[in-house]
Amino acid sequence: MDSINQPPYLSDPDRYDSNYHQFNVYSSHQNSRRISPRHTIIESPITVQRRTQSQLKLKKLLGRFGLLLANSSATSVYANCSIASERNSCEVASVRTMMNFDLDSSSACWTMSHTNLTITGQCSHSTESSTTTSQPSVRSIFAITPTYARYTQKVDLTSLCQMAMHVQNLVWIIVEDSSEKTDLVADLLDRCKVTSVHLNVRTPPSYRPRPGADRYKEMYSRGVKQRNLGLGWIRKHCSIVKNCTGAVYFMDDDNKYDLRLFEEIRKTENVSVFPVGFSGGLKVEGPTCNKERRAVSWHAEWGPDRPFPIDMAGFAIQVTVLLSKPDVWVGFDELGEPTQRGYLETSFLEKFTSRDAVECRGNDREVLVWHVKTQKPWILYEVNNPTDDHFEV
Amino acid sequence: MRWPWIVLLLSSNVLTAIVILSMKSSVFNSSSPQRSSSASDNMLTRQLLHHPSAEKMSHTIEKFSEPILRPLSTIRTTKSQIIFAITPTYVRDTQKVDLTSLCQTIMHVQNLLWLVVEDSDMKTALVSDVLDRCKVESVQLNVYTPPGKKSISSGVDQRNLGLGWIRRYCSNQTNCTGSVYFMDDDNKYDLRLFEEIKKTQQVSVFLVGFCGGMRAEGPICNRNGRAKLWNAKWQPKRSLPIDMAGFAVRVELIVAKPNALIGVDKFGKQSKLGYLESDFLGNFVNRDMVECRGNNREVLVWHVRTQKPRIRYLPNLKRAG
Repeated sequence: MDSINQPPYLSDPDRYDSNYHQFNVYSSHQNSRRISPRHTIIESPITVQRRTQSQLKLKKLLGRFGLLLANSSATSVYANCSIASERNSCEVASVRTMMNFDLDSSSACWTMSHTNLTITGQCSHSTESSTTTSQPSVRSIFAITPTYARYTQKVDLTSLCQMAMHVQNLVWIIVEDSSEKTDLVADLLDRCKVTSVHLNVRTPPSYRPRPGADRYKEMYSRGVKQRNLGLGWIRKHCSIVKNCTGAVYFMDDDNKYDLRLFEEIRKTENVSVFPVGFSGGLKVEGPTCNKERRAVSWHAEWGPDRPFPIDMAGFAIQVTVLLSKPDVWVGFDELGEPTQRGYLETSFLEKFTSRDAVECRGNDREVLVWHVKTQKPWILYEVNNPTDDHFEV
Repeated sequence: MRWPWIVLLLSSNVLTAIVILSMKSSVFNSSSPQRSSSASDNMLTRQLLHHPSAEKMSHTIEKFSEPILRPLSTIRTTKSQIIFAITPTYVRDTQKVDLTSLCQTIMHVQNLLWLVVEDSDMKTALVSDVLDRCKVESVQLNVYTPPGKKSISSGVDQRNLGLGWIRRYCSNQTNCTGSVYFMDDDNKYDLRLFEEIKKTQQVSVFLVGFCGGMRAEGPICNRNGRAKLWNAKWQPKRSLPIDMAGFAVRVELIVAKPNALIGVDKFGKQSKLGYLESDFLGNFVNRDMVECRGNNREVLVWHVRTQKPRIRYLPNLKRAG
C-alpha cells in the first residue's frame, strides 16, 4: 500500500488502517459502538492446523483457548484458521473471523460458530458438509458491495443477502460510506448466513455530490473509495493466507443477479465480461460472445468509444491477476487523477487486459445481471417529524 | 383476413355487409388457435361464474386456461403449515428481474406454495422459464384483465383467481392447513416474515415499510399480540389501514367463505380505492380481533418498486431483457 504511485486520497486520515486487524467486524472498540458485552475481543493470531482426528490433540490445541476463556469474561476469540489440506481432516474457510469455540466432547469433531459463519468440522469421512462455504475445491468469489445510508439501504441489502445465501464460497465484502459501522448493516450481517466482511470508509467531502444535484451530472462517481477499500482488503488478506484464488466481482447493492451468474464468474481465468441489462440507456449493454468465449462485438450506445463499454457489474477479475498489479485502483489513473464519470470500468480494466483478450461469458439469449434501482419511496408524512428515531426501516 | 372483402363484394347492400362483418369479428376473436381448452368445462370457472358479482368479472373469466403445476419432488408432511403465496404479475421491463429476485427469496422458505398469476391471456414463456428454473413449488395461472376494464387497482382479478384455485385445491385435499399471503412481485421480504405468517391463527397483520406515505404503515402491537394503535396517515379511517402485503389469512377461513373476494366487501358492494384490504378482511375479522405480529422496531416487508429503467436508445429489440 505504501507505494510511490499512491492515489492521493489514500493519504487521507480517514482511510483504512494498515493494521490488518482493523478490517474485521468488531475489530476495534474505538471505531465501533456496536460491541455488545458478550463480544469482548481477544486478539490472538493462533493458527489451527488439524491433521489428525484425535480428540486429545484437539483439546491440546484448543487448550490455549480454554485458558484464555477461563481467565477472562470473553466468550469469543479472534483467531486465524488456515486450511488443513488433508482430505480427511476438517476444512475451514480461510477467512479471518471472530469465532466462538465449542468443543463437542462426544465426538472428535469441533464446532466453530460465529455470527456470520458456522463451520462444522466433519471429522468423519462424510462427503456432505453442514456449512455453505467450507468446500475449498470450489473457487471463492469475493464480492465487493459499496453501500450508503438511504431509505432503501436495508431493503436492498436484505434482498442481496437472501440471494448471496445461495452462492457457495462467496466472501461478501460490504463497505459502508460512513465514518463508523452502523447498527443497521451490522445487525443485518449478524442475521445473514453469509461469510461477510464489514468495512467502512467515508468519502471525502470534495468527492461527495452536492445536495440536490442531478445524479447524472455529477463529476465524480460514487463508491470509488469504498471499492478501493475492498480491493485493499483482498490484497492484504491474500498476502496473509496462502492459496488465495478466486474471482473478484463488484456487486452493487441495488442490482439484481441471477444465480447462474456466479457460476460463470467462478470460471474466470483472467478477466471475464458479461452483458448487463438496463445499463447505459439500453435494454442490454455489453459484449456479444462467440463460441470461443471471445467478444465479437460490443453493444453500447452511451460512450461506445470506450475501450470497455460495460457497467461495473459486468466484469469479474481473477484474484491472482489483481494481485499482480498492486498499484491499480478503481477510479484513478496512473497520475493519480480521478477518472471522469462513466470511465471507471475502462480505466480499471485496461490496466489488466485489452478488449480482445477478455473472456466473454454469458449467453446471448439471457441476461444474468440487471442494473436496476429500487425506486425512492414516497414518504410524505414523517419526513420532518419521524415518529421514532430508533425505528429501523 | 380475406373474409371481409369477399363479403363486401358479394353483398350489394352495405348494411348487411357491416352486420356480417361484425359477426365475423367476434368469431375470429374467440376461435384463435392459441387459446387453450374452453373455460366452461372447468369447475373453477363454474364456481366463479355463479358468484353474485360474476357479471362484473365475466369478461376476465372467459379467457382462462389450465393451471400449470410445478410440484417439488419432496413429500410434504401432513401437518405442516403451508403458506399459499399469491403473486399477481404483469408484463413490464422489470418483470423478470422482480420474479427472479422473488424466487431467490422463496427458495429459503419451507412449505410455501407459490401461485403466480399472470395478467395475460396465455402463459408467457418468460414466466414459465423463470418457474422452470426456480426450485420452488409453484402453480402458474393466468387471467387477462383488458386495459379498459381495470378495476380499482391492478391485480384484483389475478388475486381472486388465486383464491379460487386455493379453494378448489383445498376441497380436494385433506392436509390443507396454513395461511394465504398476497406476495407482490416487486415487494421485498425478510425471511422472518414467513415464520410470523406460519403462526397465524385467524388473520395476522404486520407493518409494511414505505407504504401509505410513511416509513412504515400498519399496526403497533401491544404485549398481548393485539393491535393497539394503527400507524397510518393516509385514509386512517379505514377499518384496517394496511397494504395488501400486510396481512395473512388462515386457509380454513378462506375456504369456509367462498364468496370472499378482493374488490368486493362482504355485502357484495364494490370497493373504493384504498379499501381493498379492509373490505376483504371485513369478511373474516373486526379491527380488534386481528393478531398483530412482528416487533414494533423493525419492518419485515417493504412496499417498494423497482424503478422503471431508463432506456433511451430503442433499437435493441432483438435482445430479451
